Amino acid sequence: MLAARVLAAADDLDRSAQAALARAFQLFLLLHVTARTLLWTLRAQQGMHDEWWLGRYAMTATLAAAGLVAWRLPRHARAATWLALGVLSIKLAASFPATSNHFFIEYLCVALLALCDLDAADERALLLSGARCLTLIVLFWSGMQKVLYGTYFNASFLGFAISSKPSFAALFSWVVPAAEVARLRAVRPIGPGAGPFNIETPLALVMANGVYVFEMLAPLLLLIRRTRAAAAVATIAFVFCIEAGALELMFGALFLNLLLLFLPRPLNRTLLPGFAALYAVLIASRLGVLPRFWFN
Amino acid sequence: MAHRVLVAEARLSPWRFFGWAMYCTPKLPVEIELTAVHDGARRALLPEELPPAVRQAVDRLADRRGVWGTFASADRLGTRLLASQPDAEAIEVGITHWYLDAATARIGTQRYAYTYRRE
Repeated sequence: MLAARVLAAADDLDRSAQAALARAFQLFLLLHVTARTLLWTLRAQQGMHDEWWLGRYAMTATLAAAGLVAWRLPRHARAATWLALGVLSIKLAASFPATSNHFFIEYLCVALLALCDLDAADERALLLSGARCLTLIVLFWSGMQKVLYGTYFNASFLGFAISSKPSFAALFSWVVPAAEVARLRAVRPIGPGAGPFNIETPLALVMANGVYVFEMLAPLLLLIRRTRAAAAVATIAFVFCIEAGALELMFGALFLNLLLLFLPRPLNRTLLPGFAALYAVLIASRLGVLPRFWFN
Repeated sequence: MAHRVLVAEARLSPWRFFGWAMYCTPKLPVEIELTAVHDGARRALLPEELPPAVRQAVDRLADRRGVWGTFASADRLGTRLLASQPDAEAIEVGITHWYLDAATARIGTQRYAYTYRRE
């Protein structure tokens, strides 16, 4: 079967680092879903949207407990993961159809962790192959969708973003000349017929078209063992630049951890405290303990 | 691919349903215009003329259309509007989806019109 062959291709020849990789991924993911759920709760409460914010706090506390159990009592980690999956199932039902695509990745990864016994070598390998394949699919399909929508050929999506968001205008000021930024920002009001939003600067066009080319090419290079490590480093740099620029910090952290699974050494274990610190800063900012800044 | 087709044909949200089309096209609004027909004459219904509950129903439909596209039916709203406008012989619900047209690099629109007649 093709799926079995792809999963096998995504596996490692040397499985010695897989225990550490899988364990660190498990802890990161439980930390991540806890932080995301807390931020989701705070946003709802501060925005005064409905609705059962007490229930949201309960979900956050349960996820936090699951994470703590997984960390301090490893032999109960799998049970804790199942508990986390249950909580996330409630969140999925509550948020659907407005569920973000990012959440689906989290959910599938937690499901993989719950289904696979990390103490069994073959299941550990299956977990890592499965998470890697999910990463490849998401990366490739993101690029394919950009081709299908056609808004990157003439950089019109980027042009619209510059036109409508000052932060994007500032971010891309090193690529798009001031005159073109001014032209795009002057498209007002933004309504039916407004535009054109295409960008004419050659460097910006190369960058825009380079995005989907990279997204569609990288998965192949990540799958081939000979190019895997180098492709992982390149893709990490690519994702880091985009997500940091767009301030998509939570998704960026998640996807970076998925990409770290492609490295031969468990760098994700080394970086785990750093991600924990990042989440602490983001939560503190949302609470107002640290200066507030916008992020997603 | 199915996701792309559903977005093109049914205006499903490109940002939802695990299609990974976020950052392919911007999130743009859905507009709803309401028209009452009295003795064959058409008159726009302004938000301030509507009871608060009906105004909320209009906003909810706009939100749902933004996610579900044409799968979100206007029928319930049409029925409520007929009830709230007893003198109208018909109500027209016009729903306009904005989108970024890749070919022209401009904001395009696709409009759907639904007519509800009093029996």
